[in-house]
Amino acid sequence: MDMSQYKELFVSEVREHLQGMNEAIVTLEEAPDDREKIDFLFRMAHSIKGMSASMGYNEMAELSHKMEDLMDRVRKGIIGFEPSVADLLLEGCDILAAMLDDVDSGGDGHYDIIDLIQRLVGYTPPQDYETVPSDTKTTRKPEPEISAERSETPQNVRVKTEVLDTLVNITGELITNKNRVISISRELKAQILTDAISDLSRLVRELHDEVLKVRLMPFATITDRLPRVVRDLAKKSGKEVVFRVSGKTIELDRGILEELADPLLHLLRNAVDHGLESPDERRAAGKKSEGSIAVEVQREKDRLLVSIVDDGKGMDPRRIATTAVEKGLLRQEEAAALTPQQALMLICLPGFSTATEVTDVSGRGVGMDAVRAAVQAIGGTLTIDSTPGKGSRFTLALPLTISIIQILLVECSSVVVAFPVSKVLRTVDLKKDAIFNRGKRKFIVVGNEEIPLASLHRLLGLPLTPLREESIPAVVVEIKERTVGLVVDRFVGQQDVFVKPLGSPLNRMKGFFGGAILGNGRVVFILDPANIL
Amino acid sequence: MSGKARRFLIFTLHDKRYALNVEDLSEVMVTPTTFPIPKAPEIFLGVMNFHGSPTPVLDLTTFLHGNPPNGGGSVLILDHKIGSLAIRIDTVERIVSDIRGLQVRQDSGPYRRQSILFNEETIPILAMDLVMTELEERMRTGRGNGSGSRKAKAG
Repeated sequence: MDMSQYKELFVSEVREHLQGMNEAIVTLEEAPDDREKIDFLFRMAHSIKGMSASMGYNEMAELSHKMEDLMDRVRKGIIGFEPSVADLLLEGCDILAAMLDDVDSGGDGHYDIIDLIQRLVGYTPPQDYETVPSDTKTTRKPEPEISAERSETPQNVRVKTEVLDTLVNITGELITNKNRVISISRELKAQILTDAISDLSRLVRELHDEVLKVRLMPFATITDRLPRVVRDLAKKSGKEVVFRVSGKTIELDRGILEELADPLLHLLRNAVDHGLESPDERRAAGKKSEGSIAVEVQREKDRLLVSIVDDGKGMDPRRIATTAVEKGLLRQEEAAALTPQQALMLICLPGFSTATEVTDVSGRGVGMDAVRAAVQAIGGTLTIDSTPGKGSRFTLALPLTISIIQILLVECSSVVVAFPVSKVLRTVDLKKDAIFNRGKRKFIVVGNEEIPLASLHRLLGLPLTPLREESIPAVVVEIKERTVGLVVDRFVGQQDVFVKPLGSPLNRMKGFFGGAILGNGRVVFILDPANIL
Repeated sequence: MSGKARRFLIFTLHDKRYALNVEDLSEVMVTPTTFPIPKAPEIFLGVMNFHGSPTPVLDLTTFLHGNPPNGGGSVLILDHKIGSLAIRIDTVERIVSDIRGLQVRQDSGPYRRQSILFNEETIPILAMDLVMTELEERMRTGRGNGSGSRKAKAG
């Protein structure tokens, strides 16, 4: 029987099972008597064995069979779930994942598993390990029937992600076309058409909301593998870490989740490698030898806050500013003017840290320029809080979706460009006499703060237009940790648009978040203020 | 020799003929309305709305010869596997195939690796991957960037 048509489903299901096994193994290391997790691990191994055998991937079936046998010994209380069992099972998961990758790319899943099979079969507990008390064996719950595993599975349908992407694209095009019809209706001044468009707009908005809901995935999609990652990093660096994730059932657009996986991993790696002290250092500082790292996810209005928190050595803003000056990244007087939070953000500057030259100060900056760029690319922001000796908190504020955003359209020298509204701190209409000079630079006062004024024309390479007497429109944004006012010719308006990613070669230009087609057919570029310089 | 015939689109540019592998193209159309691309080099006419995707239009005359075009003309939309790019040319002449003795020769001029011999004329085949590499580099470094694409400068 030709099973190739089921391969995609097989790969997807086994990958999910392996993800679950990884998470369960790490959990069991901390709570080895968790009966539910022990049964879960056994069932997952059993399922992978069955699926692999039916697809003809016999080596995968054999390996998962031996893992299942080992778990059966744990279930029966013959051996305990000691760390060496966890190591063996994690090794098995890694090899199964490699075999699965091979299957996914058209191979037969072959892998040299003889050595691991022998170690699984011949496993004996270390002599100093305490076996499970006999009363535990006698009082445990009856083993669940394997066949009942899916009896209460809700009725779900697997949909290819490409189909969802197409749905989002079509909805986006509907919004673009709706805006176009609104433009025509304004020109025609036809009330009956305006009323009809109002109904259409409501339906399109509802459709948009529903389609975006379909794309939502729980944060757990990317956090389930993190306990394993942190465990491995901690072992490698000789540190003791208690890791927890909260809010992982909160849902987020798949596109953002995919882009977030790497930055999150990087922040965790930095937290283990450079944030936490060694157990000896922690004890000497009066702390518990186990360090704590947490990923906290919470929804705040229309954005998601993801925080990576550790109770490690923290960072000193003054030392970071001094290091940045020493590296020639900013001048002494600029460093002196920074707030503590602005100084902490200096670790994200390219060149603050290099992988070959890591010190206790620069270590936290390794790869942070890439992390910040990735977060900004999906319309998010990164902030850092830290207290020396107490720990650090890196917070990513993310939009819930990146497909459809609200933009502020502005005009400069007859060129219309857009800012994501989420990136605009405020807009101001300035009087000419409100602008004053400090050296060669122009400044204005916004709130209680003096902020530099720049010309968006100049930043975009457009010809300058003379400043008007009556009022000068400016958009206040943040550029490289500094609040800046950008002078424009006029504000055009706000609207929801479907963001079109820029392909090559346009995507090589810095400072653009994407493009959009307006209702009148005009193509506009959406600026990424943080990277416009 | 492979059994599949190669087809080339011959077009004119600044009174010279060039060829493009038809496999590198997805569509040919009259030059559409374009909109300014801030910060882009002046070799770009602007950006067009190609089936809902912002697609930059490279003015091939300026890119290859440094002269602005006479206006009008056609744009060739490249296949997405090459990139998201349209190129403005003067006129499309014909499509030829190498199935009937069309000679394809090695060539080493700018942005070309091969040329075809057609009606006793040597016509360079533009290597669009080399063009794309150059464009990406110019976009990345800002080299040759003046006051944005031509429309941006003109306002």
